[in-house]
Amino acid sequence: MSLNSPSLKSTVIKQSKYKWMSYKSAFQSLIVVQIISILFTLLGAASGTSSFGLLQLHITYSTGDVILFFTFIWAFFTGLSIDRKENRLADQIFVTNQVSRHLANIVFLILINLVGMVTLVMAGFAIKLIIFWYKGPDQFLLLSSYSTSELLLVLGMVFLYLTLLSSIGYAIGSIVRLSKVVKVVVITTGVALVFLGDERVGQIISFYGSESSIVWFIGKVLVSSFLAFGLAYAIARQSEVRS
Amino acid sequence: MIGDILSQFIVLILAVFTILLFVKLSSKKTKPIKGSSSKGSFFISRRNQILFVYVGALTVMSVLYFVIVNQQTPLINAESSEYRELNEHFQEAKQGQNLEDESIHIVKEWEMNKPSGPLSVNYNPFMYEVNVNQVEGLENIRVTQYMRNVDNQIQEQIKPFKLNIINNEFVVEDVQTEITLRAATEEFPVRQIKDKSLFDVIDDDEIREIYKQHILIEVPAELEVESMGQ
Repeated sequence: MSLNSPSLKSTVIKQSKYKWMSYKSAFQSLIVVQIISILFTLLGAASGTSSFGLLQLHITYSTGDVILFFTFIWAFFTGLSIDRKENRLADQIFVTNQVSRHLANIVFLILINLVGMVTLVMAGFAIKLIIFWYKGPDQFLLLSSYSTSELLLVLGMVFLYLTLLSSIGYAIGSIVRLSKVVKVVVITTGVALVFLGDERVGQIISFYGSESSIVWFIGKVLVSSFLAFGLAYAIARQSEVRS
Repeated sequence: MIGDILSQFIVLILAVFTILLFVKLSSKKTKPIKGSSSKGSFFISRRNQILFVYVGALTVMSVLYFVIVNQQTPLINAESSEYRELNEHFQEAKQGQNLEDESIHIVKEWEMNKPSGPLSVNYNPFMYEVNVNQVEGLENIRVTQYMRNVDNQIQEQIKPFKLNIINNEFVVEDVQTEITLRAATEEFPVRQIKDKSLFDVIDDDEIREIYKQHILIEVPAELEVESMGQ
Protein backbone atom coordinates (compact mmCIF):
# COMPACT_ATOMS: atom_id res chain seq x y z
CA MET A 1 0.00 0.00 0.00
CA SER A 2 1.34 3.40 -0.93
CA LEU A 3 1.28 6.26 1.53
CA ASN A 4 1.76 8.77 -1.28
CA SER A 5 -1.34 10.52 -2.58
CA PRO A 6 -0.36 11.98 -5.94
CA SER A 7 -2.23 15.02 -7.16
CA LEU A 8 -4.42 14.82 -10.26
CA LYS A 9 -2.11 17.23 -12.10
CA SER A 10 1.04 15.20 -11.48
CA THR A 11 -0.72 11.96 -12.43
CA VAL A 12 -2.02 13.47 -15.68
CA ILE A 13 1.46 14.83 -16.55
CA LYS A 14 3.11 11.48 -15.85
CA GLN A 15 0.52 9.55 -17.80
CA SER A 16 0.69 11.96 -20.72
CA LYS A 17 4.49 11.63 -20.84
CA TYR A 18 4.15 7.88 -20.67
CA LYS A 19 1.68 7.91 -23.57
CA TRP A 20 4.00 10.17 -25.53
CA MET A 21 6.85 7.70 -25.04
CA SER A 22 4.92 4.52 -25.64
CA TYR A 23 2.29 5.31 -28.33
CA LYS A 24 4.87 5.34 -31.09
CA SER A 25 2.48 3.96 -33.67
CA ALA A 26 0.63 7.31 -33.67
CA PHE A 27 3.78 9.13 -34.85
CA GLN A 28 4.66 6.34 -37.24
CA SER A 29 1.21 6.49 -38.85
CA LEU A 30 1.37 10.32 -39.04
CA ILE A 31 4.61 10.23 -41.03
CA VAL A 32 3.45 7.36 -43.24
CA VAL A 33 0.09 9.04 -43.95
CA GLN A 34 1.72 12.36 -44.80
CA ILE A 35 4.39 10.82 -47.04
CA ILE A 36 1.73 8.81 -48.89
CA SER A 37 -0.42 11.91 -49.35
CA ILE A 38 2.61 13.90 -50.58
CA LEU A 39 3.20 11.16 -53.17
CA PHE A 40 -0.50 11.17 -54.13
CA THR A 41 -0.39 14.92 -54.65
CA LEU A 42 2.82 14.76 -56.68
CA LEU A 43 1.51 11.97 -58.90
CA GLY A 44 -1.94 13.34 -59.55
CA ALA A 45 -2.23 16.96 -58.66
CA ALA A 46 -5.70 18.43 -59.06
CA SER A 47 -6.38 20.28 -62.26
CA GLY A 48 -9.20 22.13 -63.92
CA THR A 49 -10.09 23.92 -67.13
CA SER A 50 -12.07 27.10 -67.09
CA SER A 51 -13.27 29.28 -69.95
CA PHE A 52 -13.41 33.02 -69.44
CA GLY A 53 -14.85 34.52 -72.59
CA LEU A 54 -12.12 34.14 -75.16
CA LEU A 55 -9.61 33.00 -72.60
CA GLN A 56 -9.34 29.31 -71.79
CA LEU A 57 -7.22 28.48 -68.79
CA HIS A 58 -5.98 24.97 -68.06
CA ILE A 59 -4.78 25.17 -64.51
CA THR A 60 -2.99 22.43 -62.59
CA TYR A 61 -3.37 23.24 -58.94
CA SER A 62 -0.71 22.50 -56.35
CA THR A 63 -2.17 22.51 -52.92
CA GLY A 64 -1.84 20.74 -49.60
CA ASP A 65 -5.53 19.76 -49.54
CA VAL A 66 -4.81 16.03 -50.01
CA ILE A 67 -2.39 16.02 -47.04
CA LEU A 68 -5.00 17.93 -45.08
CA PHE A 69 -7.63 15.30 -45.84
CA PHE A 70 -5.33 12.36 -44.99
CA THR A 71 -4.10 13.97 -41.78
CA PHE A 72 -7.71 14.61 -40.73
CA ILE A 73 -8.40 10.88 -41.17
CA TRP A 74 -5.27 10.12 -39.15
CA ALA A 75 -6.48 12.41 -36.32
CA PHE A 76 -9.88 10.67 -36.29
CA PHE A 77 -8.34 7.18 -36.05
CA THR A 78 -5.77 8.29 -33.47
CA GLY A 79 -8.65 9.53 -31.29
CA LEU A 80 -10.53 6.31 -31.94
CA SER A 81 -7.70 4.01 -30.88
CA ILE A 82 -6.10 5.93 -28.03
CA ASP A 83 -8.34 4.48 -25.32
CA ARG A 84 -8.43 0.88 -26.50
CA LYS A 85 -8.17 -1.99 -24.04
CA GLU A 86 -4.40 -2.55 -24.29
CA ASN A 87 -3.74 1.12 -23.60
CA ARG A 88 -6.12 1.13 -20.64
CA LEU A 89 -4.31 -1.89 -19.18
CA ALA A 90 -0.97 -0.14 -19.66
CA ASP A 91 -2.32 2.83 -17.66
CA GLN A 92 -2.69 0.58 -14.62
CA ILE A 93 1.02 0.99 -13.83
CA PHE A 94 0.02 4.44 -12.53
CA VAL A 95 -2.14 5.33 -9.56
CA THR A 96 -4.96 6.44 -11.75
CA ASN A 97 -8.69 6.95 -12.09
CA GLN A 98 -11.13 7.64 -14.94
CA VAL A 99 -10.62 11.42 -14.74
CA SER A 100 -6.82 11.32 -14.89
CA ARG A 101 -6.85 8.70 -17.64
CA HIS A 102 -9.19 10.73 -19.85
CA LEU A 103 -7.35 13.97 -19.11
CA ALA A 104 -4.03 12.31 -20.00
CA ASN A 105 -5.58 11.01 -23.23
CA ILE A 106 -6.84 14.52 -24.09
CA VAL A 107 -3.44 16.08 -23.30
CA PHE A 108 -1.74 13.45 -25.46
CA LEU A 109 -4.19 14.06 -28.33
CA ILE A 110 -3.61 17.83 -28.08
CA LEU A 111 0.18 17.37 -28.13
CA ILE A 112 0.14 14.97 -31.04
CA ASN A 113 -2.29 17.25 -32.91
CA LEU A 114 0.21 20.09 -32.47
CA VAL A 115 2.83 17.90 -34.15
CA GLY A 116 0.29 16.99 -36.84
CA MET A 117 -0.52 20.68 -37.36
CA VAL A 118 3.13 21.70 -37.81
CA THR A 119 4.03 18.82 -40.14
CA LEU A 120 0.80 19.16 -42.15
CA VAL A 121 1.26 22.87 -42.87
CA MET A 122 4.95 22.43 -43.67
CA ALA A 123 4.21 19.41 -45.91
CA GLY A 124 1.83 21.67 -47.89
CA PHE A 125 4.69 24.11 -48.53
CA ALA A 126 7.05 21.22 -49.33
CA ILE A 127 4.69 19.94 -52.05
CA LYS A 128 4.51 23.34 -53.74
CA LEU A 129 8.28 23.66 -53.57
CA ILE A 130 8.84 20.18 -55.07
CA ILE A 131 6.41 20.91 -57.94
CA PHE A 132 8.04 24.29 -58.50
CA TRP A 133 11.49 22.68 -58.69
CA TYR A 134 10.39 19.68 -60.73
CA LYS A 135 8.32 21.54 -63.30
CA GLY A 136 10.30 24.75 -63.33
CA PRO A 137 9.23 28.35 -62.80
CA ASP A 138 7.72 28.73 -66.28
CA GLN A 139 3.95 29.00 -66.20
CA PHE A 140 3.98 28.82 -62.43
CA LEU A 141 1.70 31.29 -60.77
CA LEU A 142 0.43 31.71 -57.29
CA LEU A 143 -3.29 32.04 -56.85
CA SER A 144 -2.45 33.57 -53.54
CA SER A 145 0.82 34.10 -51.74
CA TYR A 146 0.81 33.48 -48.00
CA SER A 147 0.89 36.44 -45.68
CA THR A 148 1.93 36.06 -42.05
CA SER A 149 -1.65 36.40 -40.85
CA GLU A 150 -2.80 33.71 -43.30
CA LEU A 151 -0.04 31.39 -42.14
CA LEU A 152 -1.12 31.81 -38.52
CA LEU A 153 -4.75 31.36 -39.57
CA VAL A 154 -3.97 28.09 -41.35
CA LEU A 155 -2.04 26.78 -38.34
CA GLY A 156 -4.83 27.67 -35.93
CA MET A 157 -7.61 26.24 -38.07
CA VAL A 158 -5.72 23.05 -38.86
CA PHE A 159 -5.15 22.49 -35.14
CA LEU A 160 -8.84 23.07 -34.41
CA TYR A 161 -9.90 20.64 -37.14
CA LEU A 162 -7.47 17.98 -35.85
CA THR A 163 -8.77 18.47 -32.30
CA LEU A 164 -12.37 18.24 -33.49
CA LEU A 165 -11.77 15.05 -35.45
CA SER A 166 -9.72 13.36 -32.75
CA SER A 167 -12.39 14.23 -30.15
CA ILE A 168 -15.11 12.76 -32.39
CA GLY A 169 -12.94 9.67 -32.90
CA TYR A 170 -12.42 9.47 -29.13
CA ALA A 171 -16.17 9.62 -28.46
CA ILE A 172 -16.96 7.02 -31.14
CA GLY A 173 -14.17 4.84 -29.74
CA SER A 174 -15.88 4.92 -26.33
CA ILE A 175 -19.25 4.07 -27.87
CA VAL A 176 -17.99 1.09 -29.88
CA ARG A 177 -16.27 -0.32 -26.80
CA LEU A 178 -19.64 -0.64 -25.02
CA SER A 179 -20.38 -3.99 -26.67
CA LYS A 180 -19.76 -5.94 -29.84
CA VAL A 181 -23.33 -5.32 -31.02
CA VAL A 182 -22.92 -1.55 -30.61
CA LYS A 183 -19.62 -1.78 -32.46
CA VAL A 184 -21.24 -3.51 -35.45
CA VAL A 185 -24.17 -1.07 -35.47
CA VAL A 186 -21.90 2.03 -35.30
CA ILE A 187 -19.52 0.79 -38.00
CA THR A 188 -22.37 -0.26 -40.32
CA THR A 189 -24.24 3.02 -39.82
CA GLY A 190 -21.06 5.08 -40.31
CA VAL A 191 -20.05 3.27 -43.49
CA ALA A 192 -23.61 3.48 -44.87
CA LEU A 193 -23.90 7.21 -44.16
CA VAL A 194 -20.56 7.99 -45.77
CA PHE A 195 -20.78 5.72 -48.81
CA LEU A 196 -24.46 6.30 -49.57
CA GLY A 197 -23.76 10.02 -49.54
CA ASP A 198 -26.38 10.81 -46.91
CA GLU A 199 -27.17 14.52 -46.92
CA ARG A 200 -26.81 14.68 -43.12
CA VAL A 201 -23.08 13.97 -43.52
CA GLY A 202 -22.89 16.89 -45.94
CA GLN A 203 -24.80 19.07 -43.46
CA ILE A 204 -22.40 18.16 -40.66
CA ILE A 205 -19.37 18.88 -42.87
CA SER A 206 -20.76 22.23 -44.00
CA PHE A 207 -21.68 23.12 -40.38
CA TYR A 208 -17.93 23.41 -39.75
CA GLY A 209 -16.47 23.68 -43.25
CA SER A 210 -18.68 26.52 -44.48
CA GLU A 211 -18.26 28.70 -41.43
CA SER A 212 -16.47 31.80 -42.64
CA SER A 213 -16.49 33.61 -39.29
CA ILE A 214 -13.36 32.62 -37.39
CA VAL A 215 -14.98 33.35 -34.01
CA TRP A 216 -18.00 31.16 -34.75
CA PHE A 217 -15.73 28.44 -36.11
CA ILE A 218 -13.62 28.41 -32.92
CA GLY A 219 -16.82 28.35 -30.85
CA LYS A 220 -18.33 25.46 -32.82
CA VAL A 221 -15.13 23.38 -32.64
CA LEU A 222 -14.49 23.99 -28.95
CA VAL A 223 -18.08 23.23 -27.92
CA SER A 224 -18.22 20.12 -30.13
CA SER A 225 -14.85 18.83 -28.89
CA PHE A 226 -15.83 19.47 -25.27
CA LEU A 227 -19.11 17.59 -25.79
CA ALA A 228 -17.35 14.71 -27.55
CA PHE A 229 -14.73 14.31 -24.79
CA GLY A 230 -17.50 14.70 -22.17
CA LEU A 231 -19.56 11.99 -23.87
CA ALA A 232 -16.55 9.64 -23.92
CA TYR A 233 -15.98 10.25 -20.22
CA ALA A 234 -19.66 9.73 -19.35
CA ILE A 235 -19.80 6.46 -21.31
CA ALA A 236 -16.60 5.18 -19.68
CA ARG A 237 -17.96 6.04 -16.21
CA GLN A 238 -21.26 4.38 -16.94
CA SER A 239 -19.60 1.18 -18.16
CA GLU A 240 -17.29 1.17 -15.11
CA VAL A 241 -20.31 1.39 -12.77
CA ARG A 242 -21.95 -1.51 -14.64
CA SER A 243 -18.86 -3.69 -14.51
CA MET B 1 9.24 41.47 -47.56
CA ILE B 2 8.90 41.89 -43.78
CA GLY B 3 5.87 39.59 -43.96
CA ASP B 4 7.92 36.88 -45.68
CA ILE B 5 10.73 37.13 -43.12
CA LEU B 6 8.14 36.94 -40.36
CA SER B 7 6.57 33.88 -42.00
CA GLN B 8 9.96 32.16 -42.26
CA PHE B 9 10.56 33.04 -38.62
CA ILE B 10 7.22 31.49 -37.63
CA VAL B 11 8.05 28.30 -39.55
CA LEU B 12 11.42 28.08 -37.80
CA ILE B 13 9.84 28.72 -34.40
CA LEU B 14 7.32 25.96 -35.07
CA ALA B 15 10.05 23.53 -36.06
CA VAL B 16 12.09 24.38 -32.96
CA PHE B 17 8.94 24.06 -30.85
CA THR B 18 8.22 20.59 -32.29
CA ILE B 19 11.78 19.41 -31.71
CA LEU B 20 11.83 20.82 -28.16
CA LEU B 21 8.52 19.10 -27.50
CA PHE B 22 10.10 15.80 -28.47
CA VAL B 23 13.24 16.43 -26.45
CA LYS B 24 11.28 17.51 -23.38
CA LEU B 25 8.71 14.75 -23.46
CA SER B 26 11.14 12.04 -24.44
CA SER B 27 13.56 12.76 -21.61
CA LYS B 28 14.99 9.72 -19.85
CA LYS B 29 13.13 10.49 -16.61
CA THR B 30 9.96 9.10 -18.12
CA LYS B 31 11.48 6.16 -19.92
CA PRO B 32 8.80 3.50 -20.42
CA ILE B 33 8.75 0.63 -18.05
CA LYS B 34 10.85 -2.28 -19.21
CA GLY B 35 8.88 -4.59 -21.41
CA SER B 36 6.11 -2.07 -22.11
CA SER B 37 7.32 -1.34 -25.63
CA SER B 38 8.77 -3.47 -28.34
CA LYS B 39 12.30 -2.70 -29.50
CA GLY B 40 12.07 -4.88 -32.54
CA SER B 41 10.72 -2.35 -35.02
CA PHE B 42 13.07 -0.01 -36.85
CA PHE B 43 10.70 2.93 -36.39
CA ILE B 44 10.03 2.29 -32.72
CA SER B 45 13.70 2.15 -31.78
CA ARG B 46 14.56 5.24 -33.82
CA ARG B 47 11.38 7.27 -33.48
CA ASN B 48 12.98 10.50 -32.36
CA GLN B 49 15.72 10.42 -35.00
CA ILE B 50 13.18 9.72 -37.77
CA LEU B 51 10.89 12.49 -36.54
CA PHE B 52 13.78 14.96 -36.27
CA VAL B 53 14.82 14.18 -39.83
CA TYR B 54 11.20 14.47 -41.07
CA VAL B 55 10.49 17.75 -39.26
CA GLY B 56 13.94 19.08 -40.24
CA ALA B 57 13.42 18.28 -43.92
CA LEU B 58 9.97 19.88 -43.90
CA THR B 59 11.37 22.96 -42.14
CA VAL B 60 14.11 23.45 -44.72
CA MET B 61 11.58 23.05 -47.55
CA SER B 62 9.11 25.44 -45.92
CA VAL B 63 11.76 28.13 -45.51
CA LEU B 64 12.82 27.61 -49.14
CA TYR B 65 9.16 27.87 -50.15
CA PHE B 66 8.94 31.34 -48.61
CA VAL B 67 12.26 32.36 -50.14
CA ILE B 68 11.62 31.05 -53.67
CA VAL B 69 7.98 30.25 -54.42
CA ASN B 70 6.16 32.81 -52.28
CA GLN B 71 8.06 35.53 -54.17
CA GLN B 72 6.59 34.50 -57.55
CA THR B 73 4.21 36.80 -59.35
CA PRO B 74 0.76 36.10 -57.97
CA LEU B 75 -2.22 35.63 -60.23
CA ILE B 76 -3.95 38.85 -59.39
CA ASN B 77 -6.83 38.66 -56.99
CA ALA B 78 -9.86 40.95 -57.37
CA GLU B 79 -10.09 41.35 -53.59
CA SER B 80 -6.53 42.66 -53.25
CA SER B 81 -5.88 46.34 -52.67
CA GLU B 82 -3.33 46.17 -55.50
CA TYR B 83 -6.07 45.12 -57.94
CA ARG B 84 -8.58 47.66 -56.64
CA GLU B 85 -6.03 50.43 -57.21
CA LEU B 86 -5.20 49.11 -60.68
CA ASN B 87 -8.89 48.86 -61.56
CA GLU B 88 -9.51 52.43 -60.43
CA HIS B 89 -6.69 53.73 -62.63
CA PHE B 90 -7.82 51.52 -65.50
CA GLN B 91 -11.41 52.84 -65.37
CA GLU B 92 -10.14 56.44 -65.31
CA ALA B 93 -7.77 55.80 -68.23
CA LYS B 94 -10.51 54.03 -70.18
CA GLN B 95 -12.92 56.89 -69.55
CA GLY B 96 -10.37 59.45 -70.69
CA GLN B 97 -9.18 57.13 -73.49
CA ASN B 98 -5.65 57.50 -72.27
CA LEU B 99 -4.18 54.27 -73.61
CA GLU B 100 -0.68 55.27 -72.57
CA ASP B 101 -1.55 54.97 -68.89
CA GLU B 102 0.41 52.35 -66.90
CA SER B 103 -2.80 50.57 -65.95
CA ILE B 104 -3.41 49.63 -69.60
CA HIS B 105 -1.73 46.78 -71.45
CA ILE B 106 -2.04 47.06 -75.23
CA VAL B 107 -2.46 43.68 -76.90
CA LYS B 108 -2.42 44.96 -80.50
CA GLU B 109 -3.02 48.09 -82.62
CA TRP B 110 -4.36 48.21 -86.18
CA GLU B 111 -4.88 50.88 -88.79
CA MET B 112 -7.62 50.34 -91.38
CA ASN B 113 -8.93 52.24 -94.32
CA LYS B 114 -12.24 53.98 -93.68
CA PRO B 115 -15.22 52.61 -95.61
CA SER B 116 -17.12 54.74 -98.11
CA GLY B 117 -20.45 54.53 -96.27
CA PRO B 118 -21.47 54.43 -92.60
CA LEU B 119 -19.59 51.89 -90.47
CA SER B 120 -21.60 49.26 -88.66
CA VAL B 121 -20.01 47.73 -85.57
CA ASN B 122 -21.44 44.49 -84.16
CA TYR B 123 -19.87 43.04 -81.06
CA ASN B 124 -20.35 40.43 -78.38
CA PRO B 125 -20.52 42.22 -75.03
CA PHE B 126 -20.04 38.94 -73.15
CA MET B 127 -16.70 38.31 -74.80
CA TYR B 128 -15.24 41.79 -75.04
CA GLU B 129 -16.16 45.46 -74.67
CA VAL B 130 -16.17 47.90 -77.58
CA ASN B 131 -16.00 51.69 -77.50
CA VAL B 132 -16.15 53.87 -80.57
CA ASN B 133 -14.69 57.37 -80.58
CA GLN B 134 -14.94 59.94 -83.35
CA VAL B 135 -11.69 61.91 -83.61
CA GLU B 136 -11.25 65.22 -85.43
CA GLY B 137 -8.56 65.21 -88.11
CA LEU B 138 -8.15 61.44 -88.25
CA GLU B 139 -7.85 60.03 -91.77
CA ASN B 140 -8.05 56.28 -91.21
CA ILE B 141 -9.61 54.01 -88.63
CA ARG B 142 -7.39 53.18 -85.66
CA VAL B 143 -8.24 50.14 -83.55
CA THR B 144 -6.63 49.14 -80.26
CA GLN B 145 -7.17 45.91 -78.31
CA TYR B 146 -6.27 46.44 -74.68
CA MET B 147 -6.80 45.12 -71.18
CA ARG B 148 -5.91 45.80 -67.55
CA ASN B 149 -2.15 45.72 -67.05
CA VAL B 150 -2.07 42.92 -64.47
CA ASP B 151 1.64 42.39 -64.98
CA ASN B 152 1.81 38.62 -65.18
CA GLN B 153 2.54 36.11 -67.89
CA ILE B 154 -1.10 35.41 -68.75
CA GLN B 155 -1.56 38.82 -70.35
CA GLU B 156 1.53 38.28 -72.51
CA GLN B 157 -0.01 35.12 -73.96
CA ILE B 158 -3.41 36.56 -74.87
CA LYS B 159 -3.85 36.42 -78.63
CA PRO B 160 -5.01 39.47 -80.58
CA PHE B 161 -8.38 39.38 -82.35
CA LYS B 162 -8.66 39.06 -86.10
CA LEU B 163 -10.32 42.25 -87.31
CA ASN B 164 -11.72 43.20 -90.70
CA ILE B 165 -14.05 45.68 -92.34
CA ILE B 166 -16.23 43.76 -94.80
CA ASN B 167 -19.03 45.58 -96.65
CA ASN B 168 -18.94 48.52 -94.25
CA GLU B 169 -19.23 46.17 -91.32
CA PHE B 170 -16.58 45.98 -88.63
CA VAL B 171 -16.07 42.25 -88.01
CA VAL B 172 -14.36 40.83 -84.94
CA GLU B 173 -13.32 37.22 -85.29
CA ASP B 174 -13.09 35.61 -81.87
CA VAL B 175 -9.70 34.09 -81.23
CA GLN B 176 -9.55 31.71 -78.30
CA THR B 177 -6.44 31.97 -76.21
CA GLU B 178 -5.52 28.71 -74.50
CA ILE B 179 -3.13 29.01 -71.61
CA THR B 180 -1.77 26.17 -69.52
CA LEU B 181 -0.35 27.06 -66.17
CA ARG B 182 0.46 25.67 -62.77
CA ALA B 183 -0.83 27.45 -59.75
CA ALA B 184 0.02 27.08 -56.10
CA THR B 185 -3.22 27.62 -54.26
CA GLU B 186 -4.04 28.38 -50.67
CA GLU B 187 -5.12 25.47 -48.47
CA PHE B 188 -8.74 24.82 -47.58
CA PRO B 189 -8.84 26.59 -44.18
CA VAL B 190 -7.83 29.90 -45.79
CA ARG B 191 -10.41 29.44 -48.55
CA GLN B 192 -13.02 28.68 -45.87
CA ILE B 193 -12.43 32.00 -44.15
CA LYS B 194 -12.68 33.72 -47.55
CA ASP B 195 -16.14 32.13 -47.88
CA LYS B 196 -15.08 29.71 -50.60
CA SER B 197 -15.91 26.02 -50.50
CA LEU B 198 -13.46 23.12 -50.54
CA PHE B 199 -13.79 22.87 -54.32
CA ASP B 200 -13.76 26.61 -55.17
CA VAL B 201 -10.09 26.96 -55.95
CA ILE B 202 -10.56 29.73 -58.50
CA ASP B 203 -13.22 32.42 -58.86
CA ASP B 204 -14.43 32.31 -62.48
CA ASP B 205 -16.20 35.71 -62.46
CA GLU B 206 -13.12 37.35 -61.00
CA ILE B 207 -10.82 35.97 -63.72
CA ARG B 208 -13.33 36.85 -66.46
CA GLU B 209 -13.43 40.47 -65.26
CA ILE B 210 -9.66 40.81 -64.74
CA TYR B 211 -8.70 39.49 -68.20
CA LYS B 212 -11.60 41.01 -70.15
CA GLN B 213 -10.55 42.41 -73.53
CA HIS B 214 -11.49 45.91 -74.68
CA ILE B 215 -11.51 47.35 -78.17
CA LEU B 216 -11.26 51.07 -78.84
CA ILE B 217 -12.22 52.07 -82.39
CA GLU B 218 -11.16 55.59 -83.30
CA VAL B 219 -12.80 56.80 -86.49
CA PRO B 220 -12.63 60.06 -88.43
CA ALA B 221 -15.19 62.55 -87.07
CA GLU B 222 -17.12 62.67 -90.31
CA LEU B 223 -17.66 58.87 -90.44
CA GLU B 224 -21.12 57.76 -89.35
CA VAL B 225 -21.07 54.73 -86.97
CA GLU B 226 -23.84 52.32 -85.96
CA SER B 227 -22.79 50.28 -82.97
CA MET B 228 -24.76 47.42 -81.50
CA GLY B 229 -24.13 44.55 -79.15
CA GLN B 230 -25.17 41.07 -80.32
